[in-house]
Amino acid sequence: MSVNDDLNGVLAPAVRSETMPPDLINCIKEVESRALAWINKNLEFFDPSKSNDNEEALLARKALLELAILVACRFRLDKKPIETEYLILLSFLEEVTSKPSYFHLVARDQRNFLLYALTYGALKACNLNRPEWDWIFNQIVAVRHPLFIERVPYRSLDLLYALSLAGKDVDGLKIDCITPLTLLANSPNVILSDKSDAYALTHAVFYLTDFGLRRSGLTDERTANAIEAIDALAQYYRIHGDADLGAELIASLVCLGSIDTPEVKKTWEFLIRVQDADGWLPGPPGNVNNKNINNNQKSSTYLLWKEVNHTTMVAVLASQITRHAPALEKETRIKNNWSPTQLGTLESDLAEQCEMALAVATEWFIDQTKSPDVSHALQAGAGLALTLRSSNIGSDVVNSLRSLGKRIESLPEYEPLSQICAADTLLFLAYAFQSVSINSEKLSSEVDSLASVIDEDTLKSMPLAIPSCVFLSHLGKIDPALILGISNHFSLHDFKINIGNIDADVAHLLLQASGSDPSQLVSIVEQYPEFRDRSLYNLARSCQDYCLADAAVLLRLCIAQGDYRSRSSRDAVRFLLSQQMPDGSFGYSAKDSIELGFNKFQFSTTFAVAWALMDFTFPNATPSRLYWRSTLLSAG
Amino acid sequence: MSDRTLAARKSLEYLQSSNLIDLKQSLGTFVSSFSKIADDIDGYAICYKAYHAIVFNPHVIDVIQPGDLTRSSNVTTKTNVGQ
Repeated sequence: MSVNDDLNGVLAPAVRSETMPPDLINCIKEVESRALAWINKNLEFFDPSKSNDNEEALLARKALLELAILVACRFRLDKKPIETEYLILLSFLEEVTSKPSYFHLVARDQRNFLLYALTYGALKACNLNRPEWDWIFNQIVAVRHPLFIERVPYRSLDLLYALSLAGKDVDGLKIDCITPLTLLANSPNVILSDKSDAYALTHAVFYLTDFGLRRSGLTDERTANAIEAIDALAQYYRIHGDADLGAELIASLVCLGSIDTPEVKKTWEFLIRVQDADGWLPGPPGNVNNKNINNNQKSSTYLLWKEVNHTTMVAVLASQITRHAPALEKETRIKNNWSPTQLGTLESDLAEQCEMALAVATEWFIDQTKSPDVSHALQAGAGLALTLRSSNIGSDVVNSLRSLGKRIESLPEYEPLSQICAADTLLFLAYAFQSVSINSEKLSSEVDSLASVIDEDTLKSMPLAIPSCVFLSHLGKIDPALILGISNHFSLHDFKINIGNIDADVAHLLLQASGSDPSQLVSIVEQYPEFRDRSLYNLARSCQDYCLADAAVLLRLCIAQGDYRSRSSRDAVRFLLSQQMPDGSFGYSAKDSIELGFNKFQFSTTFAVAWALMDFTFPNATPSRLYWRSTLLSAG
Repeated sequence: MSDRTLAARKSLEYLQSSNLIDLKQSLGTFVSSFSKIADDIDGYAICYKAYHAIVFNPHVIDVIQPGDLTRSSNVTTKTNVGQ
């Protein structure tokens, strides 16, 4: 069976669509109104001239810029007469930016030109135009140096956007030359993306799409890729509790034409939930440096403003963009989802990489079977069983298993295998030997004696052993009727598993108790609405914390609940693939010398990752299926 | 309880055992170098996290020393320091 055949059999449709309920749109409008009321109440803090402290004045200038963008977006997204609350903001902006102490800074502080350029560009978009601003703008453009200070790509897009709003065209600065350099256009890995990457993506989207008013200029394929990545990041930051990035990311999704996805809806529900009664939305923790502020001298109102003003403004912006999405849609909506062909090609490429990685891992397992430590050698044999596929059994694998069989036979009679290895090793070995028709009397007789004493009543009282009994049944050692007679489904109550945060420990228990059988997990997933989101969140966290075995276990749980196709799962696989050593094992040690116990640690990490890659790449051939009750049922 | 039931229970107990990816149980030798860690699941859990931190995240070595590791230590929190 080829990789493609294997994938085609199990993949579920990735494209889901829901419409935004009218009630939710009303709630979003309410979030915007309350946030605007709070902003209007705190306008004094947006005026840089009110502060004598350089750092605070800089913060006010940044906030003023964002306020100007907010008002400009209102002007440009909605053709209806402007509402009073926005008129108040516009009048305030005009007053502050007309003060010489502010607009002279454009000429005096040329290195920070970007900080003022966007403010004036935005005001010009609101039909506020003054000759003195244009005069200074033209001087800066003539100097050129402030325009060509080296910037990261999305900041260059920022500058180009400001210049376009101000109606200035500058030779040498072209959007088409900068866009290909952005992270947005280069298939970001959501597992490796940090906050600064997420902001780089959202800013690039805002400027490229003119806040949703035009197409991004990216190809259909790159747009689909960007939407998928931003959607996955929105899910991550929503679970993380970050309202700031949550709002920016869903605004970006809508700007790219992805309007009615479940994630946009869920993140809005999150934002509605976290908005304070006063109208502000909480800023990300640690986002603002309060260390240099003498808090005793500052009003609590100012400190709160400092922490929350950005998130509150972003929520207003996201509301404007979301509410006007149906109008934007006509202009911006293009083929924004992967076509089945595109997605299939993408996954086939990844699956082929996994297949190669598993082949190298098999070589490593073969090498480990030569270990003088019998226990370790047997576990390595289990590793060979893990990567075994009927269509792809090499002679080196058969020879290694044959040697292992001889070693098992030479063990003293008084030393049962069950004292040397745990049941999972024993079962995997029995499966491997059966697959390549190697007979080991010692192994067979131990497995037979384990199976022969099991009865239905005792099994009912010890449900955690059911998956192993299913495995034995697949090996022909237990009558399937004995297991099928126990009809109850996997239940958390039976196994006393506290779902909690769905970290690696919980994932491990769930996989063991359910035998990783999707049909057994489905009732749990349905019972806990955030199950899928939290599993994917912790999968990303484990990769970021370099806990590879934990990540592998969580990846298997995600796959077991149907997340073969999710961006986070695929990017986690890409990350895990990048952690394979030349010898085939997984995990790069940070130490110069081998630590005590590292070999066993390395084995467990490699086994865990290889198992996840098998589940991902060969869902119809992975040994995980030998634990599945549902496959026993279908076979029966 | 009959002999047969006892044998069935023993068999099923064994069939629940696994250590192929149970990192906590594969660290016996490492555990012994931490005198304050009890030989129980909690001790192993703490030890696993510390070991992981030392092997893969060396920047936390300064904050995790063998003496720090007691059953009540929250190594997870400590490993976040400096990341």
